[in-house]
Amino acid sequence: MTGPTPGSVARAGTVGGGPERPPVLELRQVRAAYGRIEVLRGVDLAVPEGAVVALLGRNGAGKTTTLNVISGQLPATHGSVMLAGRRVDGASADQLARLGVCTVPEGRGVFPNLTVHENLRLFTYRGVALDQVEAETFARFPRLQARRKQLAGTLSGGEQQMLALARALTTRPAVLLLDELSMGLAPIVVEELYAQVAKIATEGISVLVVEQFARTVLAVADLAAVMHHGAIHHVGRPDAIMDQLSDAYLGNLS
Amino acid sequence: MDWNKLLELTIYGVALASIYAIAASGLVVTYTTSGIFNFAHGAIGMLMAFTYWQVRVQWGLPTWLSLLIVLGFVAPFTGAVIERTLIRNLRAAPLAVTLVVTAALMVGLMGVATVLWPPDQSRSLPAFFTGKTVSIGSTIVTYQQLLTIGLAVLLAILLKALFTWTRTGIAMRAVVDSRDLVALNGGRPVMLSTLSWALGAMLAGLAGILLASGPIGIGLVIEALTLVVINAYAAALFGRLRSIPLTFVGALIIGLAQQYTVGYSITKNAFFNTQIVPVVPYLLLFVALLLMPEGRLRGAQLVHAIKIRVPSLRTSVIWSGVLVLGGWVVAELVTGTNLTTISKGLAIGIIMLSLVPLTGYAGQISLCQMTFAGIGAFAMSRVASSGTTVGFGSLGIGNGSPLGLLAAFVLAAAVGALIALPAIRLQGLYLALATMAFAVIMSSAFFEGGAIFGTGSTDAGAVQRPDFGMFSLSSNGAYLVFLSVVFGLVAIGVLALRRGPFGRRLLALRDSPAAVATLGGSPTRTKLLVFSLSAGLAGLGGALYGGVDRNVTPGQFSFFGPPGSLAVFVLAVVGGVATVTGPLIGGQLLLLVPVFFTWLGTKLKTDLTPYAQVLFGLAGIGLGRNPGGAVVEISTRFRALVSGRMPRETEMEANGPPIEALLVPGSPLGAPIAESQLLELDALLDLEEVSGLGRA
Repeated sequence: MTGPTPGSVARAGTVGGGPERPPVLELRQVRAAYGRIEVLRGVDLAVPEGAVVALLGRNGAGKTTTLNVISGQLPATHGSVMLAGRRVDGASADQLARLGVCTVPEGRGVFPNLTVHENLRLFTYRGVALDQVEAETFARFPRLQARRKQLAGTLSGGEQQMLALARALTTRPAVLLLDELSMGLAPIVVEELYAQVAKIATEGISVLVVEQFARTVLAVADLAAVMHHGAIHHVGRPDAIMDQLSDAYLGNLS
Repeated sequence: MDWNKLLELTIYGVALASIYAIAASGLVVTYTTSGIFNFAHGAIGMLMAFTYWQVRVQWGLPTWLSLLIVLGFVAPFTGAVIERTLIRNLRAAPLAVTLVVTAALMVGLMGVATVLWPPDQSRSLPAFFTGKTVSIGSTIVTYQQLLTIGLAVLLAILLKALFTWTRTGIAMRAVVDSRDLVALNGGRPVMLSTLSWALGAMLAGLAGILLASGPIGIGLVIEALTLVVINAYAAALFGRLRSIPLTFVGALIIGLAQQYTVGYSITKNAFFNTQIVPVVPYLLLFVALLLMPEGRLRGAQLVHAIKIRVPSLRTSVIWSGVLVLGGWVVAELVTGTNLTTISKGLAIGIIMLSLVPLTGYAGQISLCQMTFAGIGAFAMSRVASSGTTVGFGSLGIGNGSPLGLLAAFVLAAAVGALIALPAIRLQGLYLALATMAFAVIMSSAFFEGGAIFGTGSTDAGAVQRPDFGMFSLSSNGAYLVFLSVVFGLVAIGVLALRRGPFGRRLLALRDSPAAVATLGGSPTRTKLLVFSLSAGLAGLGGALYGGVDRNVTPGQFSFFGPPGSLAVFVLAVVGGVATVTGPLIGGQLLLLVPVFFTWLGTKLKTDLTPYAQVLFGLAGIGLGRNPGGAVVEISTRFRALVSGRMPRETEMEANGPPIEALLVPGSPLGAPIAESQLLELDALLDLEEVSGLGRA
């Protein structure tokens, strides 16, 4: 298991052609299907160490499916998924989670019928002690400390996402997968959350983020990839992506 | 007030409650982590009690070692194996299928126990600490009672500790919220599930052993042990199948209520004592269910899509004609008891047809169809006869008046509506359990009461065959042909219903009650109507069933039978409850398989009846792999064989058009999809992602 080393942040650079060290996460010609409908048709994507990569695209382009394949929730029918240079496709979701793939799924990253404390307890599968998880979480999000004994389902939407993000912040993942962090939240809360995401990246953790609020995410991303029709069509620096691609193509730029 | 008696009854009640609590908490543990209600829980407890007898008494091992072997090894292993082989495949299966699989498992395990420990030998377990007692005042308390109560308290503490202080326990609760998220955290939902079933089986086993060795006089009797553990289901319902503390409260209420009703009514009303007291747990189960808050209307959920053709009117008429012709041929060729057995199978088939609109189309579950059948037989016996004097007397319209059939339909439909009124707001599993409670209560309080069908020697159980004047149905062959005609007519009617607007509403109700409500329909009224219609059809079938032997017995309309409501439901689903051919096959299976095994047994000079039970269990378990039922499976394969390719899909069982329809016409699967069709695909895929069922 490769512990991410702060400082070796590979900013920019071409995706796929890693310099000396392999990218933390790499997808090669990944195909995946729901039943007989093929949704991913050869996805090539690389997330360099310590980079924030934004995955954009209209509904149905295959963004969430891509995350599902990486996190082990959907098997790839073809191609390979590499984690720090080693093939991991075929591993189960829980194995990948223990290896350091931290996934915050769309809209439901917490267990509503467990207390905040019990939610934190389940973060420890990755190997970080509970005391440390609690200390770090409450240091980052003091609001959660007061709600330690409260059911997570009774927290506000923003607080729930904070709790979900806390797993990424405290369990030292190799790569963080975020799906629609903004769903159903006020823009100001979204800004706050993404400020935390940017902070995570400066600590050397690689982030792959799927987001509808393209402007917000492009502000913190190092690289942006545009998906269409189950494949990556464009990869580039966020400003270039912003300029080159028409709003219509991207769907809803916030 | 006799304080000593009260104290004594209370101690007995608390000891009994302790056993219920142990069994019920096992049920809760398995339900919460796997989402599957384990009907076989009681049977597992029974099997473990027998295993304990084998080790402790037969092999003479010391008590502590026997307990260790059974509870520490055999029970957890059994539970884990059941989870791995059966339960795991059921995650995305419809509720009816999960119920049938576990119910079949129950019957199968009872069969296994009968094979291994033939009931012709009487067995008993020694009590723990035999003879040792303490006195509280003048009340004597046995060590066994104290042990039982102590174990329940200890388990309550241990379970509480497991679920709040250990990560594994917290993860087990987390699985209820989101299985996927547990995996994303690094937990292993699959392991947690296996673990919970192992734990559940252990608790069932402990309850079984305590019951069989305890003072309440159950002993090692297969049916009785299985059934008493079912009493614990009511306790689990008090905890809404979720909360262990509330489950313990529920167990206490049931245990005490049972002991007090036994203790305080011994001299008063004989009917109350013999017919009501035994079903007190079921009455409480019913009450607990009615007190449940109304759940939120469920939205759309994708279950395994099963493709089922709906025959046109012409096709259904033709096939009904073929059925009648077949009935006529059978009537000419077969004689004696074989003929009446086939007739009974056909009548049961009509009762099973009543489940097609209810379960097959609307997705609602009723475990009391034989109760309605009994009500139908009762109506027939009272309306269409002249002589009966027992109980409710007779209308005396005349022997075999066809009005009796009408009365059977109307009375059963009315009772169906009456029972549906309070229970219909319950969804899924809870409705199923409410109907089970109703079946057990009616069986004991109504049919077994003697006033309805007598107690064997009277003529109260006489049910006339309908008499249409011009053609006589007095010969058994003619009656079989008549049953074929009725089956055909009901099948045509049910299919016509399916093709019409009401049928569409039933399917909508099954796929998404919330959508029905938002479109302005009333899920409750639709359910009420279909429940009532189904009860009526079952009543009609019951009246005709009674006519086969011209006589019925109370046991036929009980929950366990034979034939019994449970078996009727199981075999209807096994046959294929969304088709009309399924009930035809299911009815024959129910009646002919035991006959076949008895025949084979006499040839081989061994008793093979338990093996029939095991086979029955296997049939239901096989359903877990082919949830559409036998008919669908066979016809799909047959068509594929005939045409050399997979059949054309005329209709998807799930709502919406087939996924293939979204593809560009003529393009092979997986080819690019036109831009304009992407949006439709979005909706489809989003749905699959949300429900988590899209992953093959």
